[in-house]
Amino acid sequence: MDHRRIEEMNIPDLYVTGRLTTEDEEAFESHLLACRECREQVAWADDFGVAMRGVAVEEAARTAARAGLLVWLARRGPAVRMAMTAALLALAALPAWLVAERSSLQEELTRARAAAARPAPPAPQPSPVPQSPDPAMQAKLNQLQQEASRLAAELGREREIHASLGEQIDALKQPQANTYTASLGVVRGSDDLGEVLLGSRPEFILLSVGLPDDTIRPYRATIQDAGGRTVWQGSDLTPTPRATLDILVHSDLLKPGEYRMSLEVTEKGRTVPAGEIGFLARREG
Amino acid sequence: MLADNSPVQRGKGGVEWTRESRSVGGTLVRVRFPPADPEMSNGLRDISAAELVRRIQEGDPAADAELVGRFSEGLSFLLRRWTRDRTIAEDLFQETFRLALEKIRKGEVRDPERLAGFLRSLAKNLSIEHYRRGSRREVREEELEAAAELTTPETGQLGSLLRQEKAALVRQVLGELGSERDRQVLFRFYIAEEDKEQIRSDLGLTGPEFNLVLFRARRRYRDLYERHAARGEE
Repeated sequence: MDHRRIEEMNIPDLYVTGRLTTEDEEAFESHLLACRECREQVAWADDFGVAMRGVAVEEAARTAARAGLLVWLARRGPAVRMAMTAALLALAALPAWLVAERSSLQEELTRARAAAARPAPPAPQPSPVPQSPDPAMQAKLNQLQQEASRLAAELGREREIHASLGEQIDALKQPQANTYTASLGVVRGSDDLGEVLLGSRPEFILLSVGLPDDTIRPYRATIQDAGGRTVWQGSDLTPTPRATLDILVHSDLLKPGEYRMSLEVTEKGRTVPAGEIGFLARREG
Repeated sequence: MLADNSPVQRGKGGVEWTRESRSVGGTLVRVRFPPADPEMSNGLRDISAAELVRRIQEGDPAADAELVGRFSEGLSFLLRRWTRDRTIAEDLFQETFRLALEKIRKGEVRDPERLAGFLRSLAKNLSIEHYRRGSRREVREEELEAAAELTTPETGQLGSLLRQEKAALVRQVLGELGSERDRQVLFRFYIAEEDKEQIRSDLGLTGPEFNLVLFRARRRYRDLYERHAARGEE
């Protein structure tokens, strides 16, 4: 370790305050063994550090004395005294730092006042709207405000939907009486349309589909509208003992118009058509 | 502390030692090194560490004396710093040189050019071992007392006066510092013990600027102290 580096890096100060890496500490201590000049530097740095802490302790002790703490400390053992001294050091650092902070702020204030006292360059056009010092930041702020408004509106809508669904669920929990039943018969090759009447209010409708035979087997039913769009599909539907498939649908599922329901069964591992029926959904009255 | 009443034995190279029974059992060998004899090691001042090691291995008494003369002040300084106890430092000082000579003679110095590092490691290990041997409670109390000594090295009225004097000098140094920023650097470095890089970055200082503040403060403190001491002598 050469003297130039030791001076440039203030190694003695770093050493006495325990800020050197283990490697540097070992190297510096080895150097100290043979260097009187550096030993003196370390001794002065030690002394200065101790004296600095002494100043801090004095300030803290003054505060503590006011609280009668020193009287209490004097009666304690060395361990307690040292623990308290350490605590006082920590306390001392705080006011010292606050003083330093205050001074720094005062300097900034002075600079700001000086800047304010200087005549300002003529402004091109006074703007009626206060401008943010950073336009990019202002734009970002506006964007965030817009996003917040949009999300608030969306939340309001979601709350309305949630309330409406809640009402519907409550209504559905009520006992259903006189549920409308639309009887539909599967007639192979027939173009006759059955009819499903839609009431003025939403309700459940029982579609009772008469099956071509009374074999008990699971069916798959698919309802498509006139455009061929599937509006509902159900699998593993077990027929009733009366050879019907009773399907309870909500009136919201069906808009006025023509529909076709196709039935399929699985035979020998293959899905095969079991019948088809057309029906017309129309408003009552 | 040497047991002066125990028989002194003389060894090679003018090294003397005594044996002393310890109160806790066992025997402690204390080696007394004569003060570095300028005449004895006169011709060896400028030889390299490796050459010194070689001569010690050859049994040259002047080389033994040169080893002690070259490193005794530094070793004593480090041991006092590490142990914060003059008596323990003295004991470890003797032990370090005794062991160092023994190891050098046995050829156990791996890198003779790094003789100082070897000596430092030996002393450090002995210091650590010393504290390890003591009971935890004793060590803790010693450490606390040592810390107390570091903060308040003197006791009584004289000590109080000296501390006040030092505090006054530090206040004067702080008052004479160029800027508030310099004062902040010192407070944060010595009292708050913050990370050096953090302080430097917060205050917008370059590395050399930071080092300059510390260097200037220490130099002013030293100048003031010496001026003060000179006035006291008049």
